[in-house]
Amino acid sequence: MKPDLTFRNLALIRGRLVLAVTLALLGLSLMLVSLGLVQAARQSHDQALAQRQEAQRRLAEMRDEEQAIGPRLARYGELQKRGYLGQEDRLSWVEQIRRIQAQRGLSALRFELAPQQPIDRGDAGIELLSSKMKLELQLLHEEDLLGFLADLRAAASAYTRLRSCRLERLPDGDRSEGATAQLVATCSIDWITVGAGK
Amino acid sequence: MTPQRLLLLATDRLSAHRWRAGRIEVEAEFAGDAAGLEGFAQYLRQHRDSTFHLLAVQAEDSFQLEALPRTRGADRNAMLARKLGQHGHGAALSVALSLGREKAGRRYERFLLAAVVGGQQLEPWLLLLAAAKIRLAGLYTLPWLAGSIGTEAAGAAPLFQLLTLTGAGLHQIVFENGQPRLSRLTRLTTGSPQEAATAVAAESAKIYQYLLAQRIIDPGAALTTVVLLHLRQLADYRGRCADSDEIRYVFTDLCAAAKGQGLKTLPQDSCSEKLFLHLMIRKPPRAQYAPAALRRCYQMWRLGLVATGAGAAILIGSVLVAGAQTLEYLRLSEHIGALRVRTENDRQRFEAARRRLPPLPVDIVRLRATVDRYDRLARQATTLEPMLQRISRALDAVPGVSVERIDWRANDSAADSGPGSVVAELVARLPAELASDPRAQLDAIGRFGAALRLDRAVAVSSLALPMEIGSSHSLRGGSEPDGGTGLSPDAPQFSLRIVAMR
Repeated sequence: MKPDLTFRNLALIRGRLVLAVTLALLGLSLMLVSLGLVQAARQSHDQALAQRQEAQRRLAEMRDEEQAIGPRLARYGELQKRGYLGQEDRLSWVEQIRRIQAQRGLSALRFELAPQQPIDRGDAGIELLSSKMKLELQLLHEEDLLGFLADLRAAASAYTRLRSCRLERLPDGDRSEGATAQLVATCSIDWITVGAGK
Repeated sequence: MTPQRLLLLATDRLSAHRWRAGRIEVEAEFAGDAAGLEGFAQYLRQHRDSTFHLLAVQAEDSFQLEALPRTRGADRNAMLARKLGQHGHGAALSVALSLGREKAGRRYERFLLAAVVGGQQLEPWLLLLAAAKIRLAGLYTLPWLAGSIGTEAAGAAPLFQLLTLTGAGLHQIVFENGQPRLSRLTRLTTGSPQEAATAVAAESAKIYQYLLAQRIIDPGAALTTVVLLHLRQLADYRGRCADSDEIRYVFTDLCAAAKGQGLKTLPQDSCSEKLFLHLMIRKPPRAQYAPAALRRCYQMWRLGLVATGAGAAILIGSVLVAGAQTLEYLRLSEHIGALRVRTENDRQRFEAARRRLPPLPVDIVRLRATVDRYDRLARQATTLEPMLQRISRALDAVPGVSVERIDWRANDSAADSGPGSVVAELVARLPAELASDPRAQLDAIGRFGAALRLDRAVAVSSLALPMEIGSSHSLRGGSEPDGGTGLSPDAPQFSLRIVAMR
């Protein structure tokens, strides 16, 4: 037969009920505290593991770097010396083009430089920036164009990337009097530098 | 362990016993007069921390089997209360024991209704028990306790009677299918073994006649009669109780039965109270007569025990879980410590390696990324020369062809470091003397294309020809100066697309 659970009857065992609740609460508190401790420890463990892996990765990279730093440092110095790094120097570019034109004896040359645009965001926050140049020049022979482009690659204070070139014979009527040009070349060239990045 | 105390109510006296690990000691005896009742009340007050079990041996029980419709809850309680009232004629001490449902018919639930006859003799004692608010586990009578002993002695007999002596007299209890069916108490004058043996023989015969009259036993069938006795008195019983066609005696050693039940204080004569007192603790029966009000303290005490046990179980379980978690915490802490030491070692080695590096203009990571990116760009670089050289070789192979225009462009692949391609669209003219010879024109263009294809990395396709001879194009002709071929009289012009992988 089930006991009659009235307040009057429960009062008979209130001591035991209080004891039971106290024991249960004590046990649950212990369990919750231990679970909380373990959860915090697991987080710390994951964090420590990630830090360890990161430290290992950096150390491995550093060891590789120790081997390869010499050539890379020289290459970086070369790029820096060439003016590939940092702000573009358009005035210098114009001067370089004029100088090559004069050295090559090219009669007519026109160019237009578009505003600088980012083209790539690479590792470690470096950002490649490009200024597109449309170049038109009259030539006696196609070798003049190849020489002009080679001189530009060698002398320009930016990395020059040839995108397109149209080479066509000048119609007889378009040749200016006394001029010797036979061909006209219209090229598109990217002038690429490394920006500061973010 | 809570103290266990046994109360034995026989005729007009009540004796109190202490039970401890199978031993029973008499603590006190109380007469039914005012002094005895007062002494009993005081005894109860002194032992409020005990659990009491009451055995009333002076009472007779009446039993009745009933099949009742299956009901639940309040309806069931009301129905059973009504049936018990009818059966016990309003007796306060009654009980209904469910025997399960019938296997056929309307499948009613079978009940054994039982009531204490003459329960008013117990009232003064029960009032004291109620007033003392002690823990009373139950109020029992012999029929409920003796079933297991009798069934064991009677063997397979479904119907048998058990006779045993107590201070109240000779008890005769009939069992059918393990349940008590009839209970009688015969008072003895002297209680001597000889009188008891004579009474056993006489009462057994009466019970048999009664069962026969009630058609409970078939005529001619023998009734197994179990007699609990001390072996010292066996001769007295054998001399007076001879087996007959109607009655087959099974004399059972009371001491052996008591030992079998774990009783350590063995009876000295054939009185079996101690055995049944012991059975109240060792094998408490399913049915007992104490009303709920009398057992309230006991029920609540048990509930308190269950609650405390549950609380303790939760505590123990939690401690075990917490222990396991603490071990896990210690293991993790140790591992974390080791990881931190190794991480610090790696950092120190990293810093040492960094110090060994030459002075750098920028952070080493940025330096590496910058150089690597430029190197990738350089690997992708394309120049005009290879395409012009191919065209020049083709012009050498087919003299007379003159180039009008070259459109060259670099196609970058989707992949950053992929090979990509360069495309050149070439517009050229054939020698004017071929203007009237379409076959010679196509032959010259074919040779020009073949010269370009000598480079395996080059694919050549025609964009425009002087004359389209394919079946998917229209072809015109006539007698005009061009010979009616539709060809221009000027030098014929053609156009090719040259694609070269870098």
